[in-house]
Amino acid sequence: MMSFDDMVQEASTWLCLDGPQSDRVVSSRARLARNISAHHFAHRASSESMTRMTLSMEGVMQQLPGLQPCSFLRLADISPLDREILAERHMISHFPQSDTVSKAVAFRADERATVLLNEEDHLRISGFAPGFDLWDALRMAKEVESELEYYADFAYLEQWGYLTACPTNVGTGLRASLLVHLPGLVLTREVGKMVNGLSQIGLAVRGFRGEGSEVVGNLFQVSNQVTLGKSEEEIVEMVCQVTAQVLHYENQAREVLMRDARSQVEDKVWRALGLLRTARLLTSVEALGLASAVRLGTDLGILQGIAVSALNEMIQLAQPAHVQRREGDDVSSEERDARRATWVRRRLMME
Amino acid sequence: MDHPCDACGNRPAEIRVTEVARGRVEERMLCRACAAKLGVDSGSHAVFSVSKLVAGMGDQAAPNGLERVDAVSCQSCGLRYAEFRDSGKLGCPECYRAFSKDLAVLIRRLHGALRHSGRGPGERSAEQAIRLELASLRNQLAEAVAKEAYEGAARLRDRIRELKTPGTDSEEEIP
Repeated sequence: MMSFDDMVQEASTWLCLDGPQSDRVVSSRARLARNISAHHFAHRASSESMTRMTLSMEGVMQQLPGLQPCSFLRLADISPLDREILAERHMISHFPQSDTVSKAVAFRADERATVLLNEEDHLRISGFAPGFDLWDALRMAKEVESELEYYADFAYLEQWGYLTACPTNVGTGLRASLLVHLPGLVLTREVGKMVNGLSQIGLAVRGFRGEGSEVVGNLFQVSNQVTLGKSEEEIVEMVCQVTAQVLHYENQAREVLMRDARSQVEDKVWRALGLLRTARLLTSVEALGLASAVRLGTDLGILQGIAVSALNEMIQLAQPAHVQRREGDDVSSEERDARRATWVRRRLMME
Repeated sequence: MDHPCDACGNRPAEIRVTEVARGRVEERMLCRACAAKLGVDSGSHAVFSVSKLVAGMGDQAAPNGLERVDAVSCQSCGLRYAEFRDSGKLGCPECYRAFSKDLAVLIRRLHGALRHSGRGPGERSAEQAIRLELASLRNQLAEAVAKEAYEGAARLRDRIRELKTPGTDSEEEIP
């Protein structure tokens, strides 16, 4: 059984392992929404019936080969801080958890397959893969989903496919997403155009923990919006093809930057590395911003010897709940920034 | 925690708003104050505002006005269409039958389609089976190479070559 103390020491495997095009694509995720046909949707069912379902699902999850070795956590049994850690690791959503009694998460030890119970839908099955590998992420999710079919009768209609609490997910129930690093498009101010273009062809682009137009760490999540009328493979294929095109524009933007503003880019990269190595107080937003510049520097060959995985890890390990869990509950937020800075310095010294 | 609002950029975002307008879906993370400005109920953690859309639908699909649509309710869970309009969430799988006519209009606007064309329970397309097996073989190959088990790696490579159909995987080189 995993412990949160151990968990916060290391990032999810799909963040620290190398994958295809890991330099630009951080990770791939495929999520399938499913509901059990005999029950009302989670928000409308009685808390007792959902709790009973969660209890019976615990036994099921422990049996599924695709989830082994499996941890099963009822959100009611863990502290709000630990829930936030699960949210920072993309296993549950960040929103305040009401009625936690029936909500639970089951996940494989390497966190490449997770099942979230009774949030918006009864089951949200996710597969994760490092780098640009949506097919592998879908494989992880499908494996668990088809194993689950033996135990659960999914709500399904010939016409509308898998039925979900919100009609935005109906059909395949598939949300295929890629987390991509696009500093070139941000620096050349082309990113807005790209976001608009993609939304017109049924894709959504969201900044990573974004702040209006300002996006933390130049990280963007590209995903499909349309879930009905296309097959799972068509959806994955479309997200992959469009993302490949986006990466092509990103490369062009980087070429322009290096041609027209080489010394500014180099300055930005070296300053970022200097700050990460010397700062005594770092917020998570600042840390991710600096890590983005260092990552760009590594991609462009300005910096050598810094592993992408060390920068990826920061996406989880420098987040507030992770820092707080490592350093103890009684730490003030300024003290947390100090501990974060110390942790980042040490981590970069290992490189 | 520190998840700033997409509208004001100051206060922490607590509510996810999925807006539907002119057939496009937009998702935003908002704080309670900004969400309230949009008329979104702050009691719920995920809100889907379909009111604009359904209002438009009333003109075309329901000549008797919105009241008629709103009065329909699901026999299985008792949800009224009006409640769905407010929350954006259906009550149970049966709702899809109960509100099928009105949902068809909404679903067509959301997805640009009216029929599921993916897999159903127990089904797998041949193409998907191949793509998924390829993903698995690639994983095993990477592992075999990492462990320097070259004989096994060669076998895996052959199997990958066999499975590949022209045009599906031309972009990648096998190591």
